[in-house]
Formats: sequence, structure tokens, C-alpha cells
Amino acid sequence: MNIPDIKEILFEICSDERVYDDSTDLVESGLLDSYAFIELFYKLEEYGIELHPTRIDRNNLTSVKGIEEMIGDYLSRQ
Amino acid sequence: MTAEKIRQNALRYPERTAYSCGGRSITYGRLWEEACKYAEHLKRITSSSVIIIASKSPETVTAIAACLISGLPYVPLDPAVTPARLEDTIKLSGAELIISDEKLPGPVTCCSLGELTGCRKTAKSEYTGDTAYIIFTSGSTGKPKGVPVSRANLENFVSWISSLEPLCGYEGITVMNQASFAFDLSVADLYYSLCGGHTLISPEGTLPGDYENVLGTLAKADAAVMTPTFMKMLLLEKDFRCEYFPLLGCVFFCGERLDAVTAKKLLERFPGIHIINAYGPTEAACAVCSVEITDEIISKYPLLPVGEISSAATEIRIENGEIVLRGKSVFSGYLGEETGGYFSENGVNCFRTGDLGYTENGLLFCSGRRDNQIKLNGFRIEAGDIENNICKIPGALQCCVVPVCGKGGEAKSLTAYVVAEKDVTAEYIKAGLEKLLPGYMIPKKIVFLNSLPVTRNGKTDRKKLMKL
Repeated sequence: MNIPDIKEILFEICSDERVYDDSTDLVESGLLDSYAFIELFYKLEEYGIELHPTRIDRNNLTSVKGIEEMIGDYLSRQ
Repeated sequence: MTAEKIRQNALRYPERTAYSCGGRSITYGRLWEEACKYAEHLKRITSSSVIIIASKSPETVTAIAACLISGLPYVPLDPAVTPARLEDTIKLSGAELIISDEKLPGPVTCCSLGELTGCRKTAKSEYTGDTAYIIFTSGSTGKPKGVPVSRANLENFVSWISSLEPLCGYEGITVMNQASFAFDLSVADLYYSLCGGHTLISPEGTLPGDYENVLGTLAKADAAVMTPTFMKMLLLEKDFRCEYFPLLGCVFFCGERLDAVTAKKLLERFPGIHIINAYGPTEAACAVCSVEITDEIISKYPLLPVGEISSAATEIRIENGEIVLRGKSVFSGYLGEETGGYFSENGVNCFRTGDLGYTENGLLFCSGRRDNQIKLNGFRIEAGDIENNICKIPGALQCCVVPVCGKGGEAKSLTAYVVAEKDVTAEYIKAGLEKLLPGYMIPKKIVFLNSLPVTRNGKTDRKKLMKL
């Protein structure tokens, strides 16, 4: 399975260069708000990645690295 | 009458929970008893409207009930209100008292509900108006706009919502509230519940931050009132389906456009659920019409209808493509100088909503806005409100705020195009705005331009900016 490029997806959703900066806190900066959250999940579904929002660690959502780890974890369990 | 209904419920069901949030709750019996006690104090202290910093707590609901009983208008404000917005609200509403658990700086008395009993102030006169509550919304001038809703407006709304199928048939159910009590969507759940003797519950957290809490609360609910965006977030969770939420029988949507995809998904996960799609501006007491969204409606109308004209709470007509409301639900004008869409027709209150609409087969459809009002996540935002506040920041010269829209035309986020002095950065603008506006009104993206594009008439070319 193709592993999606999270930074590209987030840039497509937020059109904000800060997503490329590893030090950006996605939640604190307001980048990952309700809309971006919904779109990120829709996008991941297109890649066949069906995450359960109730089963993810909220801290993972603050960074691209965290989101990638979450996806890696999902794929390893498939 | 609204207070009377709560009193009757307190007599009938004294032990029934009226409101609960995060393990703290209040019964109808205690709600009435406490609210009566505080109503007496309120009348002694003030003859003006009362600002309530509306956290999700039994105290907030008690304070609201106390205002209803005392006859004083209440002004619910979100706990995240900025000092600048609070100051504008105090000035416009003439409030002399803030009920808040936290001490807020300002020219008026601020105390918690419990501290009211010890308050030494005395009222200069008695309040004689008929306003039930004042909700402040975004105003295009950069100041919040006060919308006073009268007792008669509210009563009309309550009898309308309580007569809707299937809401009218429920007895002693549990209703979930999602919206902040500072937004008028909450008027639907709060008053439907309290006047109907139902139990209202709020989750402690919100989405997307706290799924566990929200879903835990929803699992106890028979009905829920929410924005379509909130439902979209719920649907991201695959386990949000009828097997795990067997009680949930009805969802009342209002506050923004409900799209067919979301409605369809909800019907698939919850076969037989009643989806009520409602429409109405704050100026006409929360909602004025509604329609049940079924599979048949979804397949017939790609743009979902927002209400049936025949069962509406007030008169609805289309004038030059704009939805105009007339009658019992409609307020009697804004606070202060603002006139907006309000007008009177032979002594009857009317309101030009600014919403573009049309009717078909007795159904009302809403197709957009005729001005620069933006609906973002259920929040009503005037582009001019943000623009005027950006221009207050030293170094910002000119600006234009436009929504970034998704495929369905719905606003996803805001972008501000700013003409500014050389050293001004996006972070600086955002930091400046944080002191002036609530978080949901701060544009996600700030783009600097040398000049703003203009149309042939010399106005800022918003359409061009939206395409950038």
C-alpha cells in the first residue's frame, strides 16, 4: 500500500507552509481545526486507512510525526 | 410562560434531572428553588440586562432560569470572550452585572451565582421591557451586534419546536446539547428540554479533541441538537452507529447547511433515525422552520430543503431572491444604532435575512448569502467584523477577509489578504487579533499583498481573492 505523504496532504488542506515545519504544533497553531480534521480523515480513507478517532492518542495529532506514527501503527496491524 | 413551564415541571418531576454536565447535575426541584431565590436577588441588585458567562454547568442553567423568573434579560457570553468584546457587550447591553465563576475586570459588578446573595448593590428602578435574552453576533462594523429576543418570540419558538414530529411525542427523554449557551443553536435544546420536562446533558469536552467524552455522553441521549459539522466529526468514528447508540432516535440540525452526504451517511448508520433540518437566524429566535430529511428527500433534492413553509413558526416569503421573515418569531430590531435587515410592516416585525432562497413544492431552500456573512462551523461571522479589527492593528493598512470553500461551497476556513507596512508579519497580525476577537474569527491564513484587487466599481474584488 502507498503510504501517503502527510505533509503534502496537510498542505493541500490548510494551504499553509507551516505544516512543513516540524516544530509546528498542529493543534496549538489552529491548523488542525475541525475542518482540517475532517478532511484529513476523509483523505486517509481514500488511501484505505480507516482510523478510529476514539482509539487514537490525542498527543499524536499535534505533529506530522505523530500522525505518521499513528498510520504506521495502523498499517502494521493490518 | 417559559418560566411557568419550568415551574410546572419542577412540581411534576422534582427529582428528575433537568441538566447535567460532567458528573454535575441539578434536578427540576432544585433548579426551580435556586432560580427563584436568585431571581429575588437579581431584581434587588439590577434593573438592566445580566451578562452570564455561560460555561456548561448547572449554575449557568440556574442563572438563565433566574433571569427568566425575574423578568430581566440575560446576555450569554462564551467563556472565551476577549476583554475587548466583553467591553463592547457591556456598553451595548447596558448590563450592570456579570455572573461568572471567574472574576473579570471591568466597570460592572462581577460575581458568581452564589455570591449574588451577598451583593450590596441596589437597583435604581425596575426593568419593564420584555426582552428574554440578548445574543451577540458578529457585526460588519467590527463591533458585536446585539440581537434582543423578546419573551413573545421565545414563547412562539418553544411552542413551535415542541409541536414538531417526533419531538412532540417524547416524554421525559434525554437530550444532548452541543453548542455553547452563548450561541442561539443552544436555545433549541435548552428550551425544548426545560419546557418539556426532559433531561438536558452536555459533554464535558468537545470535538475533535475529546471523542471519548462526547460519545460517552451521546450514548445516553435519545435526541441531540447539533451543527452538521459536529455530526461530520462524529461520523468519522466508525463505531458511531445504532448498535452502540441504540437510544439515539432524533437529531435536530441547525446553524449551518446540512449536506446530503452527511444526512445519507447518518441514515445508513442509524436506519429509521429522525433527521430534522431546521433553518432560522438569531433575529427570529433560533429557528423558524424545519423538515424531516428522509432517503426520499435526499434522492429528490441534491441541495437539501431547510423547512416546510406550511408548518413554519412565522411567515416566510421570498423577495427578490432573499428569504424574508414576518411575524411572531421576529425580533424588534438590534440594540443601538444598527438597523440591518429589520423593518416593520403595518406594525408587524419583519426581517430581511440576507439569505438567498427559493421555494419548491412547499419547501424552503437556502442557497447562499447576498452579503459577506460567512457560516464557519456553525459560527456566524461578518467578513467586515474581522477586517475592521485587522485594521485596528498598527501597521495593517487595508485588508479583505474571504472564506476558503470546499467542494460543496461550504466555508472551510478564513484567509485574510492584508496590505501592510514592511515589517508586519502574519504572526504579528494573529497575535493582535487574539486580543480583539474570539478564536473562531481569527483567519487561519494571512496573505500579504501590495494592493487589493478592485472591481470596476472600485470595490474590493472579493470574488477574485476567493479564486487566488
